[in-house]
Amino acid sequence: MACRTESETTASQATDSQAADSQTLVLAGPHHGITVTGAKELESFLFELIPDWPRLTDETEADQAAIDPIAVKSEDGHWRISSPHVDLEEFDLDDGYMVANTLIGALIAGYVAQDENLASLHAGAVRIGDGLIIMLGDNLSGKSTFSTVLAARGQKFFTDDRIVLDLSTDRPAGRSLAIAPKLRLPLPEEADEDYRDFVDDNSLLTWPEMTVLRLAPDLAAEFGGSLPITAIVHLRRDTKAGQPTLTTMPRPAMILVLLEQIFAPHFNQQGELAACVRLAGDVDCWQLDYASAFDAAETLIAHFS
Amino acid sequence: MSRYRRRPGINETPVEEELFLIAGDSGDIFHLDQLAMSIWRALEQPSSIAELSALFAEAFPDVDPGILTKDLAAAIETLLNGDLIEVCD
Repeated sequence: MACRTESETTASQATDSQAADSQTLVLAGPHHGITVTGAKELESFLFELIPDWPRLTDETEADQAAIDPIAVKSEDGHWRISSPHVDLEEFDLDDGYMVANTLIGALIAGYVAQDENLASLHAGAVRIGDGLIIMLGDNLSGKSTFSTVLAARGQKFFTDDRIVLDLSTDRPAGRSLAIAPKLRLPLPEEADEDYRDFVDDNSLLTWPEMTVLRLAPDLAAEFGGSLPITAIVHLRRDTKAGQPTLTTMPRPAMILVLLEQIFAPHFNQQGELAACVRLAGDVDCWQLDYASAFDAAETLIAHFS
Repeated sequence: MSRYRRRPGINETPVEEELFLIAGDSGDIFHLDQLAMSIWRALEQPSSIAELSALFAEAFPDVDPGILTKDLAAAIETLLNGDLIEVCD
């Protein structure tokens, strides 16, 4: 994807990595700050994507967080990000959006690594009724479309991509980091007018292939907003499917799906399995076979409201 | 004929009628379907494919013995490839 933004252009010009490294950001974690060095040039763009992630100024928290920072380095327009919690060395980034998005991944890893009861799940999540519905599936399964279609229809948006799981409570909860949702363009042909208006009204950054939304507080959970998880839905898109069908999913099958999508740098594989077994055991597991997210969104609202 | 046994240090996590195993050395996670799980259970005592075939033929009298042996051999191969079982003699 060739996304060029003013922020990226500025970032590309920052070739003096030594100078960039001397500047740090400290963002809030669940227990102490998460330090990022060398990201000052990315700051304006980064905070378009994570506008509500609190920045810390307290020196004590900053000092504690600086022990093992996320490091961003640039040279000749290429960027590398290193993290104590996730292996990103294979990245050689020259795209502003990709740099910021990769950095957000490192921030999420740093966030969940601070608490043994937290993990990250690659999934969409929306409040329907009293609880949080987690939606996951393969790439292109429709997580972002579902999450934003449901938001357009009055359900509170939590994420379209990554949710923090809190396994410390009796019922697992999902926590929002208020990351801006993004949608591929053009929108699906079947997108209705209300949805197109919703996207237009809330678009913040737009490229030919993608738009990033900024949702108002009444539409989306705030940073750290948490809700018990009611159900996990495995999205299975089949363009030949007829009416959307929602069926119960066996726990072992859901655990296999969860294992593909969970990320917790402080868990070994035993820990990841235990987390997935716990999650699939404590909440209802469903599979949604669908052709159009716009039809299937009504199925979810009707079932879970 | 080779006999097989479970490798030591394999961690079991049962979920409903199925089983997840974590290999001790690699930490890799394996999901066993009901047939593979039954073989895993049976290999609590070292057994050959012929012995397993006899055991499973008794449990599933309606299944063609040739198909049963073929399925067992394939499942044993999977367990071997995952370093979950080993040849013991």
